[in-house]
Amino acid sequence: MSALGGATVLAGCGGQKTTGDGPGGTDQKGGTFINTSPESATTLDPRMNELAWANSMMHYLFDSLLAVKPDGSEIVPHLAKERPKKKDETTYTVPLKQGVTFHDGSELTAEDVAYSFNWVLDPKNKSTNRENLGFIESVDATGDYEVTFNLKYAYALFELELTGMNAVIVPKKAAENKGQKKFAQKPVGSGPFKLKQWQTGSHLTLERYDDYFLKKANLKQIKYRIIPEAQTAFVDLKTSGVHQASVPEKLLGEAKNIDSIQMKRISQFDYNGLVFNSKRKPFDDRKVREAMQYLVDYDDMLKVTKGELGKRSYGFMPKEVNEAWDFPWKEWKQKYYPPKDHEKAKQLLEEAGYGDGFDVTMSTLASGKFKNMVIKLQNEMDQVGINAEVQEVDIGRWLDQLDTGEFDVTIYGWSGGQDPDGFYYYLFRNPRNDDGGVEDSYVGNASAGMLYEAYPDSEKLKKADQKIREARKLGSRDERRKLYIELAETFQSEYPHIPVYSEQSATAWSKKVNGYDPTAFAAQPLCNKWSNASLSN
Amino acid sequence: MSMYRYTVRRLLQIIPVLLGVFTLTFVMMHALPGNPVRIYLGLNPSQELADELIRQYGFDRPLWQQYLDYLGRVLTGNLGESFLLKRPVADLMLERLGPTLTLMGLSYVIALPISLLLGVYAASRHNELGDHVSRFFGLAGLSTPNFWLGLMLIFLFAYELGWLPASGYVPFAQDPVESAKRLVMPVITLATAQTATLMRMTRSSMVEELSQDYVQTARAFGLPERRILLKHAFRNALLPLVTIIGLQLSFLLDGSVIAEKIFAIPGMGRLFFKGITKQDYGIIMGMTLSFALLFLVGVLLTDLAYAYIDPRIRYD
Repeated sequence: MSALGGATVLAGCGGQKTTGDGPGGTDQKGGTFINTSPESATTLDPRMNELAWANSMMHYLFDSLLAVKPDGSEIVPHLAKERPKKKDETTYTVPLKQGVTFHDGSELTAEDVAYSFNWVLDPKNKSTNRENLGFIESVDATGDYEVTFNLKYAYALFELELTGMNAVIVPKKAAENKGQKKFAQKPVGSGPFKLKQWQTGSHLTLERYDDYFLKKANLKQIKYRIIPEAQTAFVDLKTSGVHQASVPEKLLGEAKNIDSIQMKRISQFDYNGLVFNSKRKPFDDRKVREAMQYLVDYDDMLKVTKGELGKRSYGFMPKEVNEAWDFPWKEWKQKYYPPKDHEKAKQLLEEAGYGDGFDVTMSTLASGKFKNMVIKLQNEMDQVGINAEVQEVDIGRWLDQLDTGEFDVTIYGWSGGQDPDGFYYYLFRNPRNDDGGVEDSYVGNASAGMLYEAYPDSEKLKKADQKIREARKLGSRDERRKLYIELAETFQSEYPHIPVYSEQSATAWSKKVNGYDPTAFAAQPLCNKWSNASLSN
Repeated sequence: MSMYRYTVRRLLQIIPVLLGVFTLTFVMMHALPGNPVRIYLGLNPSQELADELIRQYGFDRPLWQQYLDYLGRVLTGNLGESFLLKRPVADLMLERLGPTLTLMGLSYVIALPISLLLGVYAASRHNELGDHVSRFFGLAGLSTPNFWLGLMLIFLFAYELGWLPASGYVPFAQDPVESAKRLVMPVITLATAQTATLMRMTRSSMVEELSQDYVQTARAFGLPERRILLKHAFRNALLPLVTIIGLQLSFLLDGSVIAEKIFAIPGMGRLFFKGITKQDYGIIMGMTLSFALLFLVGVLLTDLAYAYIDPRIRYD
């Protein structure tokens, strides 16, 4: 889970051939698909990567045991021969496909799978994935082509975790021989493409792996060009310098008028909002926090921040998760997100003893989407006598404020994936109750608006923390759903946060690319089990 | 004092200045809130992992210890490792040196003759139409922000006309034509402000020289105007110009950060920008020291150039 990227899932390459005449002319096997990225990956070792967006590049190099269908509807076996077989609540066996090879020609066996997981779990390796796989006790090779997972506790997201970049398989021999640092520069995986050249800040070129265990890719190469400015990347797309680029919100209209490209919006499974520090006056009073909901037309706030590329979010989860889980978000909308009503806001402020207003500092990052959110709130505050100062801070200072609790109001963005756990566990649990606990100096969970710190004796919150931990251990989706509805009710009624919008990214690609349909779930959209892209002349 | 001794003395003076730059940068960097580990791990990181990385990179040790350790390493020629990219800073900088030097060099090569010619021309047409036009363009060039000009060039020449690729860098040795095509817009972007600054300086310096008595005398003797301008006045006007030309090098570095970002050129400017935004101590220190060194050498070369231009200058 990350504040920087979206859902991470994986699929394999093969599927039907798409060679033949495409809409743009004659399809050709081969060719280089040129994609763009605003930043360079910092490592190509998936075991050490913290940047979720960099996974989209690494998905072509590495495979996982399971994969999610491009429409997100189902988890299917990938390197695994079939889905995990449950022995008991905490023990699963996974049979592996035979004949899968790594880019160095060696065969992928159970030993590699066990090694990959156990390496991540070993604290001395300092893997950034360790916490995400923290539900696993160990993985044993119980045959040449069978592994057994021993879990610490029953874990609802076990299969979903096995589809992601946190759980990809690396070759034991190559990884050990190279050492972690060298492996990060010259990785060896089993994916449909292998590394050809990597120059940080400039480009990453991947080359087709001809012995891929599914059908080999049509494309000869995939190149990621690093173009920091979105406008520049968009011009490159229009002038055929690249095949794919994201479209900034201001250029959406322009993009629609360009015949040579097609565009799609992809959900980011995140939400962005405002956090009020409930540990500090005046936001220690729930009524003041609630008044903030009445103060602003949040639909309007969405318009001035992400515009067309955002959707309102409710229940601290993006709309897609609310819909997939059939959460009663429409009821929540009515109950906890009433329309703008300054009279009601004033009344609540008066009841809390702040009828004459107060002074407050709001911090924000420089990016327009966050800054406009805070400025909008500032304007509305001004109308009810609240004197708000907006402070633009860099990311170091912002994170520092969250760590120390030294803020009144600040912005927040979180990408939690497809499961409610990705939001509630990371944002609303009380970390003081984690195994091993936290230091006394720890000031609490900023994302929960410091609620736990502000009301340490609240039974309601204690129960909420227990429910968050319980929900990730339950096997039944219905039981989990029930708990998440209760949690959403609890936290929404406290207004630690006001979730404003979930983002969508607009991606556009050249019509010369055939058999290509990127989705939020398809991690290797150019080449997976269901499709195999090609370029036409 | 001989020029040789003067040069050696000036070179030795670079050492305490670099030490000062090192110390100031180190202190300011650590005075900033947050740390690279925190920024790298983002929101809600694993406390255990954060603690471990902080320990591993020694960020938990007293600042003076970190300072001395780092200074010791730099003195042995090791600029340290980038926390973010997990590679030696020197390697990262060397990889990016080519694009930046090409960009800066070309900008300078273009800006210098144009600005000198325009400056001399404007001064020779003092308060006439030619002067007004040159001054207008000078002011416009100076007031145009680099990023705006870069985006406008992309919009016009890549988006609308489709004459040039919008971004990227191709080494000259790999494909000279493609390399040139991709450098046109960034070089214009970077050279515009340079040309404007140098042109205005040349103009004012020349105007001053042309009002001197010796110019009047030369004119009275009937010397050709061209000879007065280029042989006499320009030579004298060069002295203040050389100082500016040397100092402008540092502004080129500054501008290259923006040009490299807009045109997606994998140069040192972008590396520096990334280092600063992610508080990557290794990159910040390595780049600051290198830029400072480059600047000091530039100043030294400028000073030495004085002797060539004005033999009356003595190094004592």
